[in-house]
Amino acid sequence: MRIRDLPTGRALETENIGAKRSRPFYQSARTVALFEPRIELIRKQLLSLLAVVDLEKDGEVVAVDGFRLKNLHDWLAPSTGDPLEVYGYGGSRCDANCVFCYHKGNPSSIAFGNDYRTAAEAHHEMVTRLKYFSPRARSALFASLGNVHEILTNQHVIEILSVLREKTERPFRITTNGHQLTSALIEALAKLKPVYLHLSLHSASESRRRELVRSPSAPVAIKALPLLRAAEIPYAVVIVPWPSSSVEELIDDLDATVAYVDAFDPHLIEVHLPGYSQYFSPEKLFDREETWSALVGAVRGLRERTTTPIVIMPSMYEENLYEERKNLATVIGLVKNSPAARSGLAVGDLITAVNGIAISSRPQARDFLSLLARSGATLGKLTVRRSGRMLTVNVNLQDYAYPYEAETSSHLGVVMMGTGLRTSALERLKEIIDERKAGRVLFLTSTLMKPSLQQALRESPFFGAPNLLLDLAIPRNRFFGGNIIMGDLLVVQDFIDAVEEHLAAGNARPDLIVIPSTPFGLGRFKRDLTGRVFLDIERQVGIPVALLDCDTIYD
Amino acid sequence: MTEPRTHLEKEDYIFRYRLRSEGEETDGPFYEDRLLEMIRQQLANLLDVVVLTHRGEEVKVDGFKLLSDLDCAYEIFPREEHWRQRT
Repeated sequence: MRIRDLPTGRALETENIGAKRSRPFYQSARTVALFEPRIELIRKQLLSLLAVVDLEKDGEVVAVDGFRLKNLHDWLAPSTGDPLEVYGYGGSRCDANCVFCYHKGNPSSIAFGNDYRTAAEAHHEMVTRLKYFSPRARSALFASLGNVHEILTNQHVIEILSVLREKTERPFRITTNGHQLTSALIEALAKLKPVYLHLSLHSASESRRRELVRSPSAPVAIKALPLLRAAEIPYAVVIVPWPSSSVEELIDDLDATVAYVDAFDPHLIEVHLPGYSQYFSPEKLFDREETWSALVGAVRGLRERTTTPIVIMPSMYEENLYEERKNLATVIGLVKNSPAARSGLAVGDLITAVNGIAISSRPQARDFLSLLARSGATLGKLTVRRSGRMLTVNVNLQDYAYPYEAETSSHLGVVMMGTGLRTSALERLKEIIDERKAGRVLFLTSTLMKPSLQQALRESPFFGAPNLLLDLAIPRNRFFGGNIIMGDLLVVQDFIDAVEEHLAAGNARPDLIVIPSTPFGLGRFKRDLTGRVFLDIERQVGIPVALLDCDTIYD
Repeated sequence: MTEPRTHLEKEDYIFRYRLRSEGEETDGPFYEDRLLEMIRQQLANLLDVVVLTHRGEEVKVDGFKLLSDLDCAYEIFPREEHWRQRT
């Protein structure tokens, strides 16, 4: 056993680290293509060179099948300072086999890696990432999408988090299926606060949960809720209501699960509308509209008899189904014991001003509430419209208790219907159009975003000039297929197909194509989930393409 | 004077990458001339990571010429229909 000093001054045991491996582990360069495409560039350049030359050593041809990075200082990248940039690499394995797992069947062209490796290998990478992680300098080793499985299965994760806590006070946000959440682990996590868990519970019924996650440890997660509350670790419960039974049975189980969960004071309940790709199942598994609309209706009913806020993901589906006016700062839930809940704010309130500053959209309300929460002030003033009357609500920013925490919560405990559409995006869209001197523009949007976008365009002072024609089109999620309708999951080829179909339908050729940035939002190099750069759209269709900076519809 | 950092520090994790991934699909060569194709691929790969500029302005390029034969231009990003025509 060797002990190595880390930059924090704390020693970390590194048993077996650096021990000789029988087979070295090679990662797929595709998993880093979004964040550090220069590794993929090196791989491709080497391949193109090896097509015309052989490498030699001492006069003999050397066969090579991989490469390694030399000095890791050369591979530092800008960091957000989020400690997940270190411990996120512990999730090299999963101890569940969920029936709806989105990794299943995915082709190797997707940047999500499915490279299972040993816990020691993952530990070694975490230790190295920890060494180079500098929240103060805002730098860390480049990110990858290669290890997105269950972090808490890694036996070294608490050890890593303990050392990491000495480097940063930022919350540890951990997504888990809960199978490792024994009282001992929860006790260990409690010593590392601030910690926030996203617990994928899915069902509070032991038998149904066993069916869904196919693990003998399925009940552990259900029993973890009272333990988390006792340890005062805030958590969100994630439910994927997978329609393996009838819609009625599904909703009965959702009702029972929410009732169980609500008793243990979670911070939030997230109901993720079930989706699957063509790689998961080439056959249609269920009717999306029927299932989703039934679930949304059920959740809206549950909100009336539950104190924990419940959000639907994607929330824009609910907004499009029920709200005539989009993008409003309407309160759909309040985190228990949050400053907002204790101030007397109520579900259904429409926020119209924060500290006297008028609010016209949901993103604006979210921004101002976040600013207020971080301002260090002790009091805030919200103006709301309730049942047609205007009210002023004074919020004591210091008045809160579990499950609300200043470090892990946002918006003072106010929960709204997703991120919404920023009006500044339209201003930027107009700037892009003017810079390019375009007269006919094709904007490629999504099923979920189009209604909000249409409303914003109708009401915007920047559009409507007779010399500007703005067409909206929705690309199909052909690459992922299945029942996916998410704009953020569109890939370069989907956009190329959409433009070609738009032209084939007899529409005039646009001068400019504008695409929201979010499908290319992972990493800084503007690549889709297959690692393909957005510039390929323009290369293929021969029309200039611009990206419009937008927020992802998920928080 | 500090020693230049040219090698991996002794106990660092080794980030290794495969040259060829299992099941990886490639378009194959566009130009039959292997040396020409090598240059095309290198340029295409670089232009997936950088944007060229001239006097500070972004410049879009889609082809190249060899200095030994300025009469002949080659595509860097052949359109899909051009690939299909060659196969």
